[in-house]
Amino acid sequence: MKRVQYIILGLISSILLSCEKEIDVSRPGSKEQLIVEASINQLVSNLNYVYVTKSLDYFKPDLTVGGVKDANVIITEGRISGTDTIYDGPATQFFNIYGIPGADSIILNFFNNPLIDNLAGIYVNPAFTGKESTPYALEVSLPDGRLVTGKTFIPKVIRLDTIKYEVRGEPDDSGRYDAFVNFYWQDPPERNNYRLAFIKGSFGNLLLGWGAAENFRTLDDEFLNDQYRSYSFFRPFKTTDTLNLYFSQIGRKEFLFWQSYSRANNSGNPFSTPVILKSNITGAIGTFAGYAVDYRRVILTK
Amino acid sequence: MHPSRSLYFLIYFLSACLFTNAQQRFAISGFVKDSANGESLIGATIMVKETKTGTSTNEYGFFALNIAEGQYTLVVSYIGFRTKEIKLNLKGNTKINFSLSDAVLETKEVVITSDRTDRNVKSTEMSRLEITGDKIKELPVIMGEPDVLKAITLLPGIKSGGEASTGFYVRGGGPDQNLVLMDEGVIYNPSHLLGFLSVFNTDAIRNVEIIKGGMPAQYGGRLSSILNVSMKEGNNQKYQVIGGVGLIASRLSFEGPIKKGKGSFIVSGRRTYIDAIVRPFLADSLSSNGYYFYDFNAKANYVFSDKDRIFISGYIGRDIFTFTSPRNTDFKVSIGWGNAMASFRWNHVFSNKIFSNLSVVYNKYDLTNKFEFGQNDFKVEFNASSGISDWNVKYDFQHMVGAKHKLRYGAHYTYHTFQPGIANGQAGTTNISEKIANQYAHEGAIYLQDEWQINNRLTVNAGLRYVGFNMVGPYTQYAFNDENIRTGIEKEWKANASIAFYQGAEPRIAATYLLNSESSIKASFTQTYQFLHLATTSGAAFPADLWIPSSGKVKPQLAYQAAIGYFRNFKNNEYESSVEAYYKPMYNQIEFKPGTRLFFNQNLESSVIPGQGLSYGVEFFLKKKFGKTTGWIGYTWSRTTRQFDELNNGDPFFYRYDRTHDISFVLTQELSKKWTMNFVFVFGTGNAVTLPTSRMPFRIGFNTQTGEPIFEFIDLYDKINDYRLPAYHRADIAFTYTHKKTKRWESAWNFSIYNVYNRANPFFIYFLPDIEKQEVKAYMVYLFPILPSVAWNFKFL
Repeated sequence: MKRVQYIILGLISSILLSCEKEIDVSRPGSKEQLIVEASINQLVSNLNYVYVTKSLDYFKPDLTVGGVKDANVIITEGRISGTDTIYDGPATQFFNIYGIPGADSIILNFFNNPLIDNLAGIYVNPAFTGKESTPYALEVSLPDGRLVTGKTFIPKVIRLDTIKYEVRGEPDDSGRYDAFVNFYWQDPPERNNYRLAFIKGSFGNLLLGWGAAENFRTLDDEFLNDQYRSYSFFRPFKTTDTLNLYFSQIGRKEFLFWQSYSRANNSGNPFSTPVILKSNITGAIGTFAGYAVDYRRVILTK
Repeated sequence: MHPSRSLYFLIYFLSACLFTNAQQRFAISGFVKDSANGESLIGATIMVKETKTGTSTNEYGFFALNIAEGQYTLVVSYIGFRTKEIKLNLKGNTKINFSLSDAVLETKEVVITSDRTDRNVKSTEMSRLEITGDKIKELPVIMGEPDVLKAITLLPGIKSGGEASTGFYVRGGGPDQNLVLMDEGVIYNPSHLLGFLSVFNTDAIRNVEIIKGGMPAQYGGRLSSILNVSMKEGNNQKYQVIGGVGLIASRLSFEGPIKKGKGSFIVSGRRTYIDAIVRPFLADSLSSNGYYFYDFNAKANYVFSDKDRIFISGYIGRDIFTFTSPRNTDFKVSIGWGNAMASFRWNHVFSNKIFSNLSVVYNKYDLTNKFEFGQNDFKVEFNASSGISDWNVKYDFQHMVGAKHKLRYGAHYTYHTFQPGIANGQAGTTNISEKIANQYAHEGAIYLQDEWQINNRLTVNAGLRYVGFNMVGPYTQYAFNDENIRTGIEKEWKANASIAFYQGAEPRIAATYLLNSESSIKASFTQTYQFLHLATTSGAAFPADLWIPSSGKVKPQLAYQAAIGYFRNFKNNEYESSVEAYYKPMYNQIEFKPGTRLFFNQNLESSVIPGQGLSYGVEFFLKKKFGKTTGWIGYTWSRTTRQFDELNNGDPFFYRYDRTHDISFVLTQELSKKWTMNFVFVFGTGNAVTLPTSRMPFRIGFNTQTGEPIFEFIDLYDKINDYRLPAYHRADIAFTYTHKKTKRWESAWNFSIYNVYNRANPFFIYFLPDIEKQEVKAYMVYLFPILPSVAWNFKFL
């Protein structure tokens, strides 16, 4: 609803001759904060990573993003014993991506890009695979003594039931039609939190980081619990598109983080109040999220 | 709350009544009207020349005096009207109705009488201002549309929400702390066009009164101000059509007698045509989209006898927005919001000394939206609505007791229905039907106040309002855990079962000490509770903002306000001036946790953060009331802060609309019999806003097709409202050309230039990184450059 109101306000402002000009804004410097984005799952190895970086001064940006290269990153598997969660399973060290021998050419390209020379705070371990219904602990320690910790849980996978699409309208100049896509699943009785991401193209499951997804949504079952559900993409795809769908189940704390993230991402309008991210880690801003991923691929044809 | 305080006030009232003068006295009472159209004159002064005592008419034009037997000269005056004097040999209770004539019409020249203009010095009222509908029409306007709320922000202590905004902020209070009344009906959202214009059609408005402090006991329910808008009664002498054509909207009113001299009616409508203006410039695919609003006012009154008169008023206004996607015509959005109000009022004069008014009012604000997309199995349809509605009954008495006491007492009851949200629809095969439970509340008040003229110099107006609020069932409360998930624990209340109950006494006291016939010192103290809260997370008022009741978790807002002022008139009341200082702490202010979803949130109460506010300042006001040059200048120095334990590390921060300096200057100059010039200048310290201090790269990814990394920047914030936007200032000028009046036709053109010197005033600022220069640039968006407009107003008799 708010978004619609901003559209209305924007329209009115446009009608009422809004103009703009550059002004000087003088602000004191900001305090640097650690940022951690950690993702693990049971299906897609490219989506197991820990990204450690720092906040940037808003008004004096060194636009090269400063990844933290020298962190020690450990993810430890846990188990549930009664009402306790004990993290005494295998501990996996995640390595800075520079340090991985034989990193494939795509990854090397990633770092050869001069714009992202300092984007080196990504830690991975190709040997790691998450497990369904399993807790994990994250520990990121820096040489200067700073410590980031977090806990997450990879839930049970909820599988997509069906993907349907409907081709409509007239073809565009390249002969492609609009294709409206729905997908369906059975929502279980407990509270479930979903995160949906998709990427077009024929690269299969090569989703290298959640940011590579063309779009993502965070939704839960507050109002539509324990029933057969559908999800509709409002924007049509095109026939001949290949649609890769990543339908994930996440924990509640992780959901609340991504929900606040989504609101923060949409808060850059003049009337919104700042959103504070609901981090589920300590020692940094960010999240450690376990995803129970179901993956589907569909080629849209007429 | 301290109910025992009320005892002191009851003792005061009882003693006041017991010690009244027992000398043989008689009452003089009646109504004062405009002879041309029969409209009641509010605030007309009735002076007894020999005793130099007097009174003024109430909101229905009624007055009552109590004086000893004898021969007197009564002087009845009202600004802009010929003063009337009558000799009277008072031997018993007497009823006299006065009809005053327009000074300009009668004398063919501008002779404005002034006797009433010392009311600001002599009365106990302070922090009270009024402006007439006709004055509002003279002021420079934007897009040719005169506006009540923009006009009142030119008065000291009342701040505008920003460029072209109708939001107003009184002595540091929020927009929800203003009680906006139209013929006693509450208008919950007084804005159209998301704040660019108000809901008040100036053709249907007679008088606007704003009380920003020293609140009389008959008013309550809001902490900061009362905006009392009176609709015209309608001409009870002859039929007439009044209208106006502006650049974005037109108005048309029809009024006339139901029975000459006995009753009258007025119906008035207004509609914008922004949609029609913009449509030719839109692509065909967008031509079905539009945005417009309309207002419809209707009122009738009838005098059944010298003692009885009834009024029936109605208002409905709505904003309508429709959108159909040009790319996909299955995608449709339709949103409507607006107020509706109906009131019935019965004036009854019990005796020469007792005037009463019974009001029964229904008012409602609602928002509905409809969203459609797709077809067949792919169809998504969603309807949702929210709102608030009230039933009000108010019985008010004004009672002369002896020569020196004017009592006002009565009771007010409101039944509130809060509708946080109903939604139903269909998404593919999924049916959606959800409702956030309605909430219900009883709100009641009884009040008593006495204006006691202790001696020729000292007058005290002391009152007590005792209020109660009871949130009642039916209602089901769900318990939520820290992760905002229902725990399964529910608590259910049956119909009318008490959920939360609050009560308290609101003492109101004001005193005036006359230093001489031209100057006085006044002081006032008020305590007010507010049981309704506006749930909003944005810096501007939006139609989807929700009104919520005080409940178990959300405590009533409370404010104290103390004010002291010096009032001085000059040159036989041609000039009036005042200096007022005020101090106003506010408690149980609410904010919502950052990022809270307001709509469809069953657990909204848990997102409330309680805090407090403080506002203090000094207001200077100088006004020239008549002559060929009239106008005023107002200057306010003030400071307003808020403090919430869970925000800003618990440190106080500036309220967004804290404005250290605020100046308004309004000048009206009659250039000739046909031409009048109006000039307005305003200056205000920039709004306090929160700016990001840093940003974080997040949601990392790699585009395997382009070979480039992907990430988003999310803004991070530190202190709240620690940056000031540039100061706001602007000058407007308007020239009004009035055609020569004929017996049946009057018309005037208003040529306005808004923002004469083309000041770029901040609407908001945003930032963009300049990658090449490795810097972030700030851009200020401003709405209106120099903007001429024209409006035509007419009256057809």
